[in-house]
Amino acid sequence: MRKKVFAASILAASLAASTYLTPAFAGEGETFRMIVEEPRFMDPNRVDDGAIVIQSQLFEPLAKIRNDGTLVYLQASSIERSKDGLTWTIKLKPENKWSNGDPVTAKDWEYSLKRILDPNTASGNAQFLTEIKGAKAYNAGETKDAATVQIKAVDDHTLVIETERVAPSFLAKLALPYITPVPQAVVEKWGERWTLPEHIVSNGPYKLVSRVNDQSIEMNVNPFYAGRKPAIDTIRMTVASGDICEAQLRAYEAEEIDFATCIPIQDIQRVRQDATLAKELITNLDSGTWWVQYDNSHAPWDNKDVRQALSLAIDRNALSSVVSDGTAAVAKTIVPPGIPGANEDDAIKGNVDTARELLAKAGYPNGAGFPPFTLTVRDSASQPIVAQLLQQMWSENLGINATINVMELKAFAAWVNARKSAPYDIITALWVSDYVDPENWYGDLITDDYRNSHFKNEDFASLIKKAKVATDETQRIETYRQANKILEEQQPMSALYRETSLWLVKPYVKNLQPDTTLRLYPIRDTEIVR
Amino acid sequence: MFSFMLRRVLASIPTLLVVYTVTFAIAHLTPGSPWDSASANRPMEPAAKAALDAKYNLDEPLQVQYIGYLWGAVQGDLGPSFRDPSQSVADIVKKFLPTSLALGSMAIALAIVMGLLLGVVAALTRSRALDTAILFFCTFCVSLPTYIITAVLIVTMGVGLGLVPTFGWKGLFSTSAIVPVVSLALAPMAAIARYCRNCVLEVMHKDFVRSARAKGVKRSRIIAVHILRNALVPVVTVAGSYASSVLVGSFFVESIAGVPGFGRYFVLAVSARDYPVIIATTLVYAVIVVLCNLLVDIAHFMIDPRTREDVR
Repeated sequence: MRKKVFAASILAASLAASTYLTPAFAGEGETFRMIVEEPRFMDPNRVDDGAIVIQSQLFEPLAKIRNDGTLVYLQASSIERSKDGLTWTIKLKPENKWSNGDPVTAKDWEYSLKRILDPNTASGNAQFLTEIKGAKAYNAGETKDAATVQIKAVDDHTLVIETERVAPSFLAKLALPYITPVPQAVVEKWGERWTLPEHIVSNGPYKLVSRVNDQSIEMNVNPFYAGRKPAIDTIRMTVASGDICEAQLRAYEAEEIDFATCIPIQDIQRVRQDATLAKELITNLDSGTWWVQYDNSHAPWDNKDVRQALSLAIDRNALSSVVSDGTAAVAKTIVPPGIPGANEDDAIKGNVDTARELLAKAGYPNGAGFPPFTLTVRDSASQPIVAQLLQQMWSENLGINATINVMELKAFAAWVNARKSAPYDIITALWVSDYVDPENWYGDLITDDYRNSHFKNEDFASLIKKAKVATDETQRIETYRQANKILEEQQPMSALYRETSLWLVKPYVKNLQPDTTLRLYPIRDTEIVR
Repeated sequence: MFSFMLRRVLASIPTLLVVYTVTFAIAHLTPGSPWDSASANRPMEPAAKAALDAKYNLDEPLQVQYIGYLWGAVQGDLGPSFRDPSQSVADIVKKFLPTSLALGSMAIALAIVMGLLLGVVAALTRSRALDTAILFFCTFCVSLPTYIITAVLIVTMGVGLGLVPTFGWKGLFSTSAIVPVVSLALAPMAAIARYCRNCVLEVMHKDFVRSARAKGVKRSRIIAVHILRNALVPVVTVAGSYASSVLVGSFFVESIAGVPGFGRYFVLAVSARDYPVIIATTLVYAVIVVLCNLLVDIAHFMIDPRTREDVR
């Protein structure tokens, strides 16, 4: 009897344990497993950082621009610009639906675009829409009347937008994954809590079914999605913090995930030498640049010769080798190849000897009399090591001495933002393309000066001003080409390297296509073939 | 006893007020605001920043914010989270604290049981090979940082043997709890074992133990009732001090093993400058420390009759 009771207890305990241990996500069909960082926002109108990889599976924009520059319509069936170039008429596909079955209307789009511009939403994406007539004043809080913003739903499926001026890059911005609609009725009903899994509805290929903060995010196919149905039924994201690359590689090797988006630098060599992992490794050059930036507003950095000298004294191959085991590409120019106007042939020519000559010409032979300066970097992405290498290269090659100041991420971001009026010496910085248009680099980054380089050059400024409103595409790109020459010759910042995304993808995962602009990967197009 | 506890609880109020004041000051003095994004391409528009400051009362003078938050906290309103506006700080505490408490309780229970066992065995086999081995093992466990222990356990048991998941959390009674529980338990276990060994050795030579032996009391009874009970007093103090730190969760263990716990959330809140969450989590931590100390005193009271005199 005792034995039977014991056996029954063991059986009951095993059953209970197996029920408990069954994964919480029990989807049908194929599941795609990956690790992501905890998103700052689940609200797509507010996401302006890497978390877009999560929201871009749930929310769909009007269109997208492929890596080859061609436009593919998604929620829109057409986007037309008027002859004067000021009015954009967007026709929406009438079959578009939210994941609760309600139609996605032009009213939802009008509401969402104005919501992005509303300063109370505090969305970083407002800056993609400021060319719309009335948008800048509304976003700056100069008027509280949203009706002054020229975005109008003329019927259920037609949205008309007027821009302040001719804006050739506006189409690229409209096609950004950051510009998506939110369901007006749901947002107004639930307020800040509308993004909770029990309330949220989305218009993209997937819908959110569960989210446990800092633990997991699970999505299933949106049954009402009118576009091509995804082949994968469930996306299961485990949320990690700390060193996400480390967590991904461990989980990938233990067959717990199907896809890893990065590899810790110390493991790159091992992965490349491993017979299996090497076959599953995919490298994609990112459309972004790391650079050193001088405060062009004061001496000695307002002297072009000094900036060129520091640039020519840098061994970029050594940097790439240390920060990425050689997988990062040496950056010869600030604007990366692939962005119209960019041309690596514009890079300044010379070597360490030229650098010494330039520094002597600037009045500092062998670095004599050069003021001590501070190189400030963030405490991430290998920047402290980059700073040490730069310090060593400048000291050995030019005889000038930098002090390194490493700052915690948020403190660094706040500090750089505060350099609008306060002087500094040198920082390292990064820009990743938001969209494939030269305006994103020459306009947003350099002319609008988001990183506070304080670079002022009248020729450059007038060329950018001209290009911004050019209606002839050939002429527009040619103008940016001329601007690129000035930018490289002036060296307000010196390009260092471009990161390469290192993915590990299991062999049964097919068609996981990278979008090099934003490092996105639409899982909608991906299949699992075992 | 009741008046003693009441006195202790009342005495903790100034402690909590000091903790609140220091945390409030440090959080607000740290460079970087909650709205500076470390990863976004662009800085936030000043109008948007002003709107957010107004929404969360950050545009008020610091002393007004200080009193306002304190008044809310006293009434049970810990405010909204800046990092995730869809949930309140109270939601966050409810979501993340139980995981860390459960994990920490399991770890401290394991540490106490194993620590006492190892300590007694080491004391009884004093200066023999087993004692040396236990002492070496304990020194090893205390010296190794928890993040190394966690990483090594994950790589060997997860990636190598496939016995436990390398990342993520499926509950306390799942294989995903093994690595974090063991990692958290090793250091307190080693400390408890060493204290226990020393105390047992000290008590073993006391007169009352010798008398008990002379009276012919069984060896097991002497160990359990006479030696261990007396040796427990310092052990409880050590366990109590470890408990308060283990119970609220370790950032390293929770981050490396992927446990959605309080320790990990606290550090994420600091990185995000999520002031209400930073203050609330620190206060919860302070309350747990106060409670653990109180429990240690109560345990002393129950174990050692001599302390009852002091309490009265």
